[in-house]
Amino acid sequence: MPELTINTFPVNKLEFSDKTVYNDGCLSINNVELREMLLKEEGIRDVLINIARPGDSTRIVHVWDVIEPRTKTAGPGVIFPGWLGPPIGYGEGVIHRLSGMAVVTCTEFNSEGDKYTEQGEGIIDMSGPIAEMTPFSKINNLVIEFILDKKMNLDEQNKVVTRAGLKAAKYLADATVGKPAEKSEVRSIDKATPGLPNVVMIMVIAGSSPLLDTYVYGFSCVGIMPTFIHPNEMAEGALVACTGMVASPANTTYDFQNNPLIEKLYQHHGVRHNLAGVIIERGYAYEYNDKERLSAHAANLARFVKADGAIITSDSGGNIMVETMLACRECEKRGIKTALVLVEACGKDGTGLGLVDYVREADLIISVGNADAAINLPKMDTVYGGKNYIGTNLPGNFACDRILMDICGANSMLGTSRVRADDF
Amino acid sequence: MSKIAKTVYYMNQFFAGIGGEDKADQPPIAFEGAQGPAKLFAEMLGDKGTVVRTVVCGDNYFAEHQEEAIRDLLAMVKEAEPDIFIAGPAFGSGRHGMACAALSSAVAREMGIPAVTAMHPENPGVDMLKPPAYALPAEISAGTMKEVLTRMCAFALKLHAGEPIGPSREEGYLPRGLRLNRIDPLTSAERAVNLLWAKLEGRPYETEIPLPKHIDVAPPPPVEVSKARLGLVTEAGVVPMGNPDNLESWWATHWYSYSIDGLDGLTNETHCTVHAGFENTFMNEDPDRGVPLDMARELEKEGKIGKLADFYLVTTGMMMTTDNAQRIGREMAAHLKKEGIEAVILTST
Repeated sequence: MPELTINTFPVNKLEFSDKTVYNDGCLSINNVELREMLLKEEGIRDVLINIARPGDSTRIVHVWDVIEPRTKTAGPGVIFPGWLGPPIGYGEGVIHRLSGMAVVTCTEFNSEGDKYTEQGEGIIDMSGPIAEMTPFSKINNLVIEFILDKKMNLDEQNKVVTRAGLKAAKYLADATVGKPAEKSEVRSIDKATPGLPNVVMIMVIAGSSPLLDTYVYGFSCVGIMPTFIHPNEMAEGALVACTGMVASPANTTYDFQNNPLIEKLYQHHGVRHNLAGVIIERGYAYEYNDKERLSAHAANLARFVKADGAIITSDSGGNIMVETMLACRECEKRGIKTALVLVEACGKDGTGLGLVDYVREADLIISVGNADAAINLPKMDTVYGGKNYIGTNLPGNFACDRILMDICGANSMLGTSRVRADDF
Repeated sequence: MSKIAKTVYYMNQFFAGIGGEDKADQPPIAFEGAQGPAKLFAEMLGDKGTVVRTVVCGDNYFAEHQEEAIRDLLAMVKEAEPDIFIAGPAFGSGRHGMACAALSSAVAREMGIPAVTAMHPENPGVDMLKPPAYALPAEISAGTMKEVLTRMCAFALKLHAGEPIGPSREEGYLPRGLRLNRIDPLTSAERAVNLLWAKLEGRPYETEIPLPKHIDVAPPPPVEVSKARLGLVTEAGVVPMGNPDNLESWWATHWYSYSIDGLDGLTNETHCTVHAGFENTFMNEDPDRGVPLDMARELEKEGKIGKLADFYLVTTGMMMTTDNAQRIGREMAAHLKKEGIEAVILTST
């Protein structure tokens, strides 16, 4: 099977300039050119671009997505298929990535036409006590705030901001074309080592409605059956985030691109286990027996590739935990040993029962922390991404009592975070 | 810190040497200095502390007069102005365990001093132990007294010195139903793969999120539906127009009972929903969609179901914590039983 080469170009400095150039760890960005490019997108009325660096007294609010800049330089297909080209993924060829940075897209969605769906806050603090809890405080962020045309419905707004963010991400990564990579890695899981256990990853992803969904090659995942997706397809941008209701336990595009669980499973492929496949399962199905159908099918796919073990992750929280637990049950019933990675909902003071649902078979659950925990956001000098905390008149750089759920990436179930809840 | 730790010590009538079961009615009583196991505890404190008072209560007295016992014992404790409070160890003894837990919790909460007890992990007292008090694990039998006291002494002195206390599995105290976040040296990705390897390779592994202890609820025996007194219960947040009791739209902690006496259905003029978890338009158009009163009345008239209760019960199920859900369920059940309702239709959204 053809391979994917990933060339890494680290970024330790971001600056604005009159030319977009990558040189020796420094990415200079022609922000005027970038802004003009984005303003050409239908549905966008205005674009504000800022840089937030680790250690800055800066808070980013109204975060929609976090995206690692990537581009495809050789091989069939495009980067972010379904958005920047036909929805045809290959998972092969050569892609370039700018590590140590992200495009952070921010906007305040207009939910008037869809009154049941409310955007939640999404916050990244670049310094202070809360910065420790999100992985995104440790990278250089290009913050792009979009002011949208109010005449679109919520689904259209989601797609406009998503497409624009991915375009910006590719535009930045294109600055590395022709440059020598610091690291070049060939990715393949074709060769299995006999005698090692087979491990799969089952990613239960959000699939419900605008602001609570996942894009698979540009399409909502509502209604899909569980399916295999190759890690190399994910590296190319097959999965893009669409979650704006909660921040900390939601999967971002950055998580899908840089999935630390897949990274670790891949590192030891052929050495300690064989990574036999990655399965995505749509969660938030509307009926219980549909949840059973989806989770049993995911377990059947795992069994099809002779999995001995499965790491099962989830997304955002709530009734998607039913699918996640059922996937555990169905795997264990088929003799596949499971480890779950889950967020807890223990309430503001940590005394509530953390698991929304559970099955007897779930004897190994890794904690990514209590998302309900009360936190105090300190005053910052600057706020980007928006003016006030969503739905309030309080400026976003002011001190505020919130919950951890508002902090992007803090309770990521794909493995980025070090936050963990424990018995005290 | 680390001044001398003045200690007040609680134990039951047996350990105090007053008597056995025959003296379990002993009301609260205080002794100056150390009695029973408090003497050994005092030796372990050495020059780091003293036991100034021992307070004692009979296990039966405490169980039957809990409020007064705690009130009177607290007064005896406060009077001695202690720096730390010790209770038990209760080992496997349930009544002693509950008394130690309840009193330690009250002392810690009201006096703000370290309060440490010990008992077997399955002792019913464990569930009654509330932060900021602590309970250390102990064996069932009192033969391990010296070992338990050693741990209790070390832990109490650590608290007294103001040292930071880590999670229960690191420090050796029993979990208290309190989950707090902290930063782990490893990412969850590293921990997950390491733990899965342990499970696959047959090595011991420990979950980071234990499942609740009591998972199974045995279903009660079925009722004869055409004869049963039936109630309607919902989490759909359907309330009389105007939401007279201010039922919460999410994170609800309340439930209410509303009359349906003489009503053949709920209408968009009489009732509405306050639930924040779904598009309200359809429920408001016809609140029978949440509380199926219209259909229930038809079945009642046809004799297919027995008499309908003249009220329905409601709460809002969006983002309700599991603890609140369990409490509300228990309270609703008690109310329904009192009204002679044998079965309910519980609608969810």
